[in-house]
Amino acid sequence: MIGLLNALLLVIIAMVLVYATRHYLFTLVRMFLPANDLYCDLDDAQWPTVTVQIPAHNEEDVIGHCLDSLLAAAYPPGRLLLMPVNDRSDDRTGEIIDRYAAEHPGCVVPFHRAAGKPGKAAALKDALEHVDSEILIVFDADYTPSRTLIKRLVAPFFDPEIGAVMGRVVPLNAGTNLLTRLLEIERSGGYQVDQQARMQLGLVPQYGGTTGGVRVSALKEIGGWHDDTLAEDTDLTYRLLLAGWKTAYQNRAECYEEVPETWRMRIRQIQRWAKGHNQVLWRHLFALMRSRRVSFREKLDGVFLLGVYLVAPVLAIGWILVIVLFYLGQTLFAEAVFLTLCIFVYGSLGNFAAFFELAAASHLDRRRDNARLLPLVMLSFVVSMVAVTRAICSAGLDWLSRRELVWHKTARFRR
Amino acid sequence: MDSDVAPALPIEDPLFDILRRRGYRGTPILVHRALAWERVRRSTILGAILAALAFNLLLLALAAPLMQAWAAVLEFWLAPLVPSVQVGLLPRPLLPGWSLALPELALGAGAPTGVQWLNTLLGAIVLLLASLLLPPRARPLAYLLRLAAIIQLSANLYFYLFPSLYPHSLRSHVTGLFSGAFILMLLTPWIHALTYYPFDHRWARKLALTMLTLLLFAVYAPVSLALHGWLIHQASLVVQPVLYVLFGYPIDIFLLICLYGWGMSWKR
Repeated sequence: MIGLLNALLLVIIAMVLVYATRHYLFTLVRMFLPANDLYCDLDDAQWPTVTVQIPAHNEEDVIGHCLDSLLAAAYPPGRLLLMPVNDRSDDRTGEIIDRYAAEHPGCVVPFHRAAGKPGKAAALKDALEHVDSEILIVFDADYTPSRTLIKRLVAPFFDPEIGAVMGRVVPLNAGTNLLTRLLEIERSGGYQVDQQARMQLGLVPQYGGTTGGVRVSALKEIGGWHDDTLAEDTDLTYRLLLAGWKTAYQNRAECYEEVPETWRMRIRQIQRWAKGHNQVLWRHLFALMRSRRVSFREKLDGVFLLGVYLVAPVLAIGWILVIVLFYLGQTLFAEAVFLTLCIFVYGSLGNFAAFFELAAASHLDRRRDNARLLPLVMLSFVVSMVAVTRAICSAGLDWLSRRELVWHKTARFRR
Repeated sequence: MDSDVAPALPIEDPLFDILRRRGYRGTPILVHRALAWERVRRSTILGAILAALAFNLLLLALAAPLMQAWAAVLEFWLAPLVPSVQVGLLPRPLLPGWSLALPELALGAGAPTGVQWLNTLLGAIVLLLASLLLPPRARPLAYLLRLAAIIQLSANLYFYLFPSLYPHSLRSHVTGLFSGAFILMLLTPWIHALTYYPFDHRWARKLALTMLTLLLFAVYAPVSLALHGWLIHQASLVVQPVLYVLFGYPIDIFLLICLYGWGMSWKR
């Protein structure tokens, strides 16, 4: 029995070690190899037609800012269409959108959705029927895109193998409180290092559902948006990959977003991501491993990426095992293993970005002061571990009771 | 006329590259953060390995006096509090083929009495209730308090069910954590070699950070374990699990990250 528990703990440590090594290698690549911006010099071209969709469910506080920013975008006239998707709003969102449509005829074409399945994926699925451009770009309503962002996101599509493009998301409200500062560090690690390293290594950069675009022909080829998932973005990344399309990451295509300002909202967000991500895991894991179109390195990275939200509950089990072994008197073994676990647990903080990755990201972003907050990322890690573990338990119960997953919108703080 | 004009700079001239990166009033034009990266030289990698090795050799050479100093610090803090305390050095295998005389604490601490058991149980319940009363903005703290309370409650349950089977003692607790602290000190230069030395800080700073971290551990380990020893002596072994799981290695690593984060924030 004790031998079995020891073996299980060793397996858990090996798993954490693999993830820590993966983050370490990503950071080395990002930090010490030239970052390729393959499409940065593209300026004078026959730019494709683009539809920008902004799914909005009760977004009266922020939708105007987003539309103002997009109307100022530098893109050839007549080739950019803004399509705010008013998804069953019962505040002034629809009214604001209609006002913009009236002021900018031909430029802003709203799509009002009064009924139907709730959730962003369902709204995008319905709105896709009205898209006849070559490229579709999606922004959440709280985003404020810069003038050149659309071109930066569209440029990679000149490469015929690219099916989707993802840009970098930067918190707008980073200075509000401790949580937003921690999220700034976490986002910085996730995009500046993790996504960019995957792009540099030819792995699987992830389409993140906003500040990103998708080739409409590729999207239609794989069956459009799936509205039965909480993570339509991850689902899309894997369906495109399995169909032979590549996803590109554009580190230079930065866009500001609002990050949650309360732990309650943050926990909800993580739980939604965890449930959605694990849903995608069960759907695509075996297809990915069997696929002949996907290269070995993409498969490996794809599997690791699919497994990120399993690390938290596995770590929780690891901690429980340490305590059980402690009571069973496994001092010598447990001490060595516990010390290792402690070292690597800290190496898998927050959204599973190693502290080295976070420090490197702060360094690259020239926000060195942020590195002083590294020890406090532990708080975010504790919350993530609890939230993800709860989400997985709740998803299991949902599956047993055949209950449908429910989409919870992230609250906005800007007025 | 032509003779007044300076000849065009050949594009392969290194000066051309320097001028290309000069901006307003000669200030450098920074590469956009999306494209920023750093060159790491072979000498940096070699230096990192040599520095880590040198720190390890230094630590191994100073191991015996360090353990004596740790034992002296333990005695310094505990002797006035518990006059019956005895501190010695006990050889213990640390690395394959190498053992070290680690500080050993001889201090009375056994299974909890009824009062000690009840007090710690009440303490755990109070912690649990306090975690429920904390405002939402203190959610991480609430989770940590709950974790501490759950571990304490598990210890109370263990001592309620099998008080005579508890496999640990105050002596093993202190000696074990001392050995862990020393192993962590041996690992620290390698952790820095892998995660700090490759950055563009000056070598003096890199070495200073490792030195500071080692000094912190050297001071913190005996002081914290003196406190552990006193707490376990006062409250019995029922508080040992929570001290070991939450206030042992996790705090050591937390301190390591604190100094690492500070070192990473240093300007060029």
